[in-house]
Amino acid sequence: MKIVNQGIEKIDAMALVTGKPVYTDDLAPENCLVVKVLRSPHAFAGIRDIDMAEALKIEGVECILTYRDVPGNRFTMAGQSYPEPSPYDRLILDQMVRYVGDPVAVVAGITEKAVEKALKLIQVSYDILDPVLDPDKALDHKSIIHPEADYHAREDIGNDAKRNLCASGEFLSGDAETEFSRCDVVVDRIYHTKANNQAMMETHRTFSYLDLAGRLVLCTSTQVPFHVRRIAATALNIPQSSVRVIKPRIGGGFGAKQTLVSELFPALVTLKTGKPAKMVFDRAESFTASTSRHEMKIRVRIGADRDGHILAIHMDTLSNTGAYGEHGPTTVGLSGHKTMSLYNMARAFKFTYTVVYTNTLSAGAYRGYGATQGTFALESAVNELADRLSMDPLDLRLKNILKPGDSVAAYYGETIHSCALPACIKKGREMIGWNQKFPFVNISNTKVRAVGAAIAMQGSG
Amino acid sequence: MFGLKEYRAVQSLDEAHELLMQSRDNVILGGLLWMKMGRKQYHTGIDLSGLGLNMISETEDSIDIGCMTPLRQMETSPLLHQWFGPLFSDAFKGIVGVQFRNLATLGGSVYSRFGFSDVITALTALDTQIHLYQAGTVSLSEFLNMDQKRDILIKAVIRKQAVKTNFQTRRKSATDFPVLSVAVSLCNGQWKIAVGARPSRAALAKKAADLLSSEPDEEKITATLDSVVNELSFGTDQRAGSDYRKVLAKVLVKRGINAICR
Amino acid sequence: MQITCRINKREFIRDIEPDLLLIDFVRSLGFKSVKRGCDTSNCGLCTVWVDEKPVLSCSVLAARVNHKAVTTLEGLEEEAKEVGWFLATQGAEQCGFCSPGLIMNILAMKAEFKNPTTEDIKQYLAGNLCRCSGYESQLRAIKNYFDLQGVAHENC
Ligand SMILES: Cc1cc2nc3c(=O)[nH]c(=O)nc-3n(C[C@H](O)[C@H](O)[C@H](O)COP(=O)(O)OP(=O)(O)OC[C@H]3O[C@@H](n4cnc5c(N)ncnc54)[C@H](O)[C@@H]3O)c2cc1C
Ligand code: FES
Ligand code: FES
Repeated sequence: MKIVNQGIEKIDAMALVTGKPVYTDDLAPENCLVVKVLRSPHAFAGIRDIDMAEALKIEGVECILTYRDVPGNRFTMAGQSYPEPSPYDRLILDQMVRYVGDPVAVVAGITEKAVEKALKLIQVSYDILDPVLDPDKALDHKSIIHPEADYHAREDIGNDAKRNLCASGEFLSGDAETEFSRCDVVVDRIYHTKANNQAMMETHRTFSYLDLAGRLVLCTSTQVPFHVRRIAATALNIPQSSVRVIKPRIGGGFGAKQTLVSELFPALVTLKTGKPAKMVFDRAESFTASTSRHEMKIRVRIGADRDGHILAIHMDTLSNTGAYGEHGPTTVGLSGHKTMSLYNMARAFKFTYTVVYTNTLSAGAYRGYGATQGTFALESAVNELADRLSMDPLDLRLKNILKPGDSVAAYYGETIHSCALPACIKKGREMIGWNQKFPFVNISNTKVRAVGAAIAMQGSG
Repeated sequence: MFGLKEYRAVQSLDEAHELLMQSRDNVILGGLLWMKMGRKQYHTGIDLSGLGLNMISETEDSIDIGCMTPLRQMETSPLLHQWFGPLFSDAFKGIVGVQFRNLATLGGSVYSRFGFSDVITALTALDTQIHLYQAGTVSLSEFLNMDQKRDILIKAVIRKQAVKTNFQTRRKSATDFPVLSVAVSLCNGQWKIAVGARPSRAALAKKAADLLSSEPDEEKITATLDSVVNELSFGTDQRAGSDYRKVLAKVLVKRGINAICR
Repeated sequence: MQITCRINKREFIRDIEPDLLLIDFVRSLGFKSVKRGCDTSNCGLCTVWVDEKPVLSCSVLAARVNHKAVTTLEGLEEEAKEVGWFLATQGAEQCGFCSPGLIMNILAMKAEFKNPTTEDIKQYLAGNLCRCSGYESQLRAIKNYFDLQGVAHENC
């Protein structure tokens, strides 16, 4: 075989390993204004007043921008195609701050020191509000995180902002409750996965300038340059033809850069001052003021007959999208559809979900995009089911998984054309020595070595 | 980020001390790794690099380690290996990485008296004295417990003895701070058991050590382990609870003792 | 304050702020291979050599390299290509952001060890974080580079 099973050197390999200047910050002009953001210390508050008189006196400070200086068009920072499923719930700077870290003011200056000094001198008075921190209590909480009148969703996502509800929905195939009543064994569990950070090595960063035609150029570490162009145009209230986006080599993204993060702050500064501007997130900022994986609480009910035929699966997902809805309505779908679909032999599927706002860091995209959380939940439940049935968990899977040519019920009836999952399971079983090791072997008087299994699918194309 | 208005590479300890006493905003620069993470704006940073204090040297009855000696230099020092075995290399290998340990200094590590310090835990299991510019020479444990006055740590002095050592630690991931660290030594039939990151700073379990003979049997060891968790305090922080630390202490101390007896 | 130092064998005399960090100093002089990945001296992306020793340039005052020799990956182009080839054939330079710091430290390790064991490699490079590779491909590449498996050129 000439190609399959052969390594191919990437065309940029030698540039990368010899440290050529190919990343965003390596390309930024020397004379960029340094841009930093003053962030809210409160989880939920209204801004009463911002006094920047002292800060503006610092030598080298070019401008300080607040909610008064930004266009009033709401938008979403999620990099998604038309019609953009995530609700329009953001402004670049808002008079209301919705999580600890939400931007309050943008400071630009000639040196980092000047900007840091100015940040310390800005006086903000807040009307502190009662924050919603627990996703279980978010729905119909007396604090409404997005009370603004111009909030809107662009399509039907089961949204009701007045209830802190970002999205909700239901998917049914077959009659789950009837099938559950026929089961000999039903496992019913709740799995809680926490928010995680993508932790790519290159933190968020963007520089911006006006080109010879007066266009705003954004050179940014992003996974979604075309979306950046459209979203920036909306957010800044300028035509898309006035925005050019350059995406250099990026130092990892893992989904974090599937959402705009650092882009709009320097963009705003460049538009206001006409000068090149640059913002580089520090590591702490990348953790606390970007986006995370969606925290989810997933209830799984899965039932089978005595022989291990899975008859019905119900997954109910509560997803915490944090202060803003980036990727909230879409990630949640994968927690059910990308997981239950594997068990296509089941007769009925039910998937219900609720995506709520809370006053925490906005969630966003992170590799797996919701499937990760769902897989952990469902696969754990399948293992528990195998245990209850006294069946080998791999055998249980082999008995119930989809096969080529199936119409996949939990995946909207789409046809699966190829699938090598049974072969993978058998090969994996053999390679790990499953039959000798399951569930565990004693390797000393203080240690056991155990094996366990999970299967997963992911879309690509 | 921390800030410095001035940087001064001093020519003598006297000059360094005078500068240090001039203002509360003046500061001795160690390897900078810890200090850099703070937000404090200092006036003058005092650099002792030019004073030849980055050396490990031998006298008739001691090994002296200058305050500016990088941890990596201690790990790889044939002299320290010869006298104390792999104690320092085992103790330091979990501290971030080689590039980090080429910078982190003995002085900065001891002076900052961190509870999690592997450096202090290792030194506690030896007969260690600390030389300070103002307060003179004190034992390591005195240093750790005395009022924290501004001073300069000049060097650590370890008594040369035929000593067997062992270091044990548990970390949640390879280069994280320790959940617990243990250094055990045996010298002339006398054991020392130092337990650090409890999470408070390393201390000797003296009663426990006194229960041990040169070749203790299983029963003596069990009594010793019980004594370790009774005589030392164990606390709870984000890395571990006190109960877990107690269990861990028994396991690690036992491994240390066994390794030396073997 | 003024400092004089050699970077990649070239002499530089510059006026600097007392608290300027080495990473920002060398980057400002165009040595952009040096990357910053953390605020806490943890990631190793900023590794350079000062007098041949690998250090974290994010944690060294530029003032302290006065009269010293600094080496960045730009000064080791040929060596970088060689190590880099091994990384590339294992797909261990994914986003590549950590590669310069990693290669600086691999080369430093090479100066200290002729034949590092797997354990030596893991220990020496423990302070070089990589988010993409999961370290397995890096480890294969490094072993090949040190020719531990004697299959350096075929195994790709
Ligand atoms: C990310 C990170 C992880 C770490 N992990 C570990 C670990 O797992 N285990 C462990 O044991 N340690 C760990 N440490 C601590 C590290 O090993 C050093 O002890 C620490 O950085 C201090 O040493 P330094 O040389 O960098 O001192 P600096 O940060 O330069 O100084 C620390 C303090 O000591 C003072 N000082 C320095 N030298 C002297 C002197 N000669 N006389 C008087 N005062 C002095 C300074 O003024 C300052 O107040 C870690 C540190 C960091 C930043
Ligand atoms: S930038 Fe992370 S260790 Fe230097
Ligand atoms: S290759 Fe991306 S961080 Fe290492």
